[in-house]
Amino acid sequence: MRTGQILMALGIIAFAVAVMVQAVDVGSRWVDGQAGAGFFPFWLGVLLAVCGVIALVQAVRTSPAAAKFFHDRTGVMSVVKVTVTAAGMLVLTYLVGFRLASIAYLFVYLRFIGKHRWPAVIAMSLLIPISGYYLFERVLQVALPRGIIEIPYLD
Amino acid sequence: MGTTLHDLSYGLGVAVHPVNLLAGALGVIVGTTIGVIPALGPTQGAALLLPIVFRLPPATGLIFLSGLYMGAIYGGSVTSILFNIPGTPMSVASAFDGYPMALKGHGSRALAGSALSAFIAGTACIVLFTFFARPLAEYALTWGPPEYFSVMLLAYAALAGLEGGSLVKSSISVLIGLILTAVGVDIITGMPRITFGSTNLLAGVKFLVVVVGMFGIGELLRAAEENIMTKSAVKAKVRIADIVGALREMAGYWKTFLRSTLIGFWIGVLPGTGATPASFVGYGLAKRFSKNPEKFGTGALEGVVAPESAASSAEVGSLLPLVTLGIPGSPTAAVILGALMIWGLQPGPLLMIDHPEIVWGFIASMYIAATLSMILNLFAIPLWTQILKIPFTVQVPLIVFLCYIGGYTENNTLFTMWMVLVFGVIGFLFKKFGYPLSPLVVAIVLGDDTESSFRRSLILSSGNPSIFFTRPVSLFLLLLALALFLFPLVSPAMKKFRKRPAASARIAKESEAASPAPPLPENVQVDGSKVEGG
Repeated sequence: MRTGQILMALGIIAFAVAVMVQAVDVGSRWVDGQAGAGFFPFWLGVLLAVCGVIALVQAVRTSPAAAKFFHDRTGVMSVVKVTVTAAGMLVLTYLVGFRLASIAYLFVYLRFIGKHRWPAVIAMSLLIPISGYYLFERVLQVALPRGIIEIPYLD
Repeated sequence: MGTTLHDLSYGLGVAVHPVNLLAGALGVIVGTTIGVIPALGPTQGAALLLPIVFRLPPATGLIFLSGLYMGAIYGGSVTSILFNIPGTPMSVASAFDGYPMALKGHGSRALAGSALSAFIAGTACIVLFTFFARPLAEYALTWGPPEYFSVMLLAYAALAGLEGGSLVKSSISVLIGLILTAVGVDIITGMPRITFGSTNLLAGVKFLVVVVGMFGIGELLRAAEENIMTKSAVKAKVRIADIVGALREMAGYWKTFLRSTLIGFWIGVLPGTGATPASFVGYGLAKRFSKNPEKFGTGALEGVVAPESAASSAEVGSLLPLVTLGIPGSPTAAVILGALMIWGLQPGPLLMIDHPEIVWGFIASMYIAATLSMILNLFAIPLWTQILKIPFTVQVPLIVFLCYIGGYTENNTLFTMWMVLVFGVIGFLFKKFGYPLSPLVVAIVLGDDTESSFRRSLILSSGNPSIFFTRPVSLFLLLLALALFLFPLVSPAMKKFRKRPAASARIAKESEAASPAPPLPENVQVDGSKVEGG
C-alpha cells in the first residue's frame, strides 16, 4: 500500500509537470489584455504539483507495514478478469465491430468467468447486445462502432 | 409568495402531463432498481442513463431524472436495512440501526420508518426549496463573473473540506478535474492545449466519459475486488400495521426529525456536499442529543429516522444551488447539471426566467417522484429484494456494455470507449488510495465556467486580481470558502479545546448542557472518507 501511495503521488506529480510544460507552450502569460490559453492550466498544474509533493511526503512517512493493497488473491484476480475482458472487447470491437464484439464478450464472460449454464449464457449473450443494438442504433440513431471486418448480412 | 404558488401550479400542470407522469414513474422504478444494486448508486445511474435521457425533451427528461434520483435514495436504504449492503453511500448510516432491527425481526418497521421519514423530510424540503428558489435566483442575477468564480471556489472548498478524507487528496481530486476540462481547444482563444500530442484529445475530455468510467467501471472493479456476494432475499413485507406503528413511534422523535431535516437541507444547499455527509451528521447529532445514546447501534428506530431524513433533505437541498446558481450541490446534481448543458440549457438564474416550464416542472416533479417512490418502496419491497439475486457475474458484463455505449454516445468514436475503461481503472485506483471521486466530478462539470468566469473577471479588472476581494459578495464567499476548506484542520483542534472544559466540568460535577456540540461528530470524519462517492 505504501509503495502504491508513493507511485500514485509520483504519477500525479508527473502529470502536473506534463500539464505545466504544455501550458507554457500555448502561452501561460498575460497577452493582449487577457490571460493566455495556458494561464489557467499552468497554475492548476503548479497547485497540483504542490499537492502531489505533500501527498508524496505523507506517503513516505507512513509505516511500510500498513495494510496491503489487495486483501487476497481472489480480489486481484477478479479485478484483473473484469479489466482484461473489458479491454479485450474493445480490441475485438476494433476488428469486427461493436455488435459482434459485445456478443462474444458477454458469451465469454458469462460462460467462462460466470460459469452459468449454456441456455442462460446463449440467451443473455444474444438478447442483451441485440436489444442494445436495437435501442441505440435504430431508436436513438447512434451509429455504433464498425470494425475493419464487417459481416454485411448482420444489418 | 403569490408568484411562487402560481409558478408551482404551473409546474404541476407540466408534471402531470401524461407523458411526463409516465416518465416520472419510469424514473422511480429504474432509480429504485439502481439503488438496490450495490455497484450502482444515483450518480452512476443518472450517468449511465444520460445517453438515453438527453434524447427526450428537456422537461420530460428532467422529470425522469428526478424520479430516478428519488427512487435511488429509497432503493439504497432497502438493501442497507435488510442485508447490511448499502446500495448507495448515503444509506450506510441507515444500516447502523436498520440492520440490527432487521436481525431482531423488525425489518418491516425499519423499512416503513425509513421510507416515511425520507418522504416527510423530502416533502418538507421541497416546500423550503419552492420558497427559496425564486428570491435566490433573482439575487444571483445581480452577480458578475467575480461572484461566480468565488461561489465555484466555495463549492470546491466545501467538497474538499467536508468530504471527510485527506484535505490534500480532495484538493488533488478537484485540481485533476479542473485540468481535465482544460484539455482540448480553448474556448476563448481557440488554441489547442494539453492534448498530450493526441488528436483524439482535441475534442476535450467530456464529463460523461469520466463519470461513466469512474463511477460505472471503477465502482464495478471495486465491487469485484471486495467480492460482494449476492445474498438470498429475506422475507420482508410491509403491512399497514407496520406503517401505523412506525408513524406512531416516529411522532416521539419529532425533535430528531426536525434537526435532521434542517441540517440536512443546509448541508445539501452548500455547494458540492450531498446526502452522504448529511446522513452521518444527522445520525451523529441524533446520538449526541439523545437522552439514552447507548441504544443507538442496537436497533433503534430513531437511528434510522435521523440519517434517512437528513439524507433525503440534503438531496432536495442540493438541487437549490443547481437550479438557481448553476452550481451543483452534490455529485448527482452535477450529473443533472451535465444533462442540462447537453440540452443546451445554461443552468443559473436566467434559466428560471427563460424556461420556467423546465424549472417549475422539475420542482413539481420532485413532489410527484417523492410520493411515487414512497408508495413503491412501501409495497413493492419483496420485488426489489429479488434484484439482489441477479448474480454479480451477470451484472459485470451488462454494466460494462452499458458504460461503453454510454461513453461512446458522447462523440461517437471508439477512442471514447477506451477512455471509459482507462477512467474506470483510474477511478478504482483513486478509491483504493483514498482519493475521493466526487470533487473531481463536480470540478469537471464546473471547470469551463470556473475558468471563463476567472478570465472574464480579470478582463474586467484589466488583470488586477484584487477584483475578487474588493467586491463585498465575492469577498464574503471567498472567506466562507476559506473557512470550509480549513475546517478539517481546525476541527480536531477545536475538539481538543472543547474536551478540556468538558472534562473539568465533569470533575466539578456540573451540568454537561453548557458544553456545545462540535459541528461534526467524530464518526463523520472516519466513516465519511470510507464511503465517499456513489
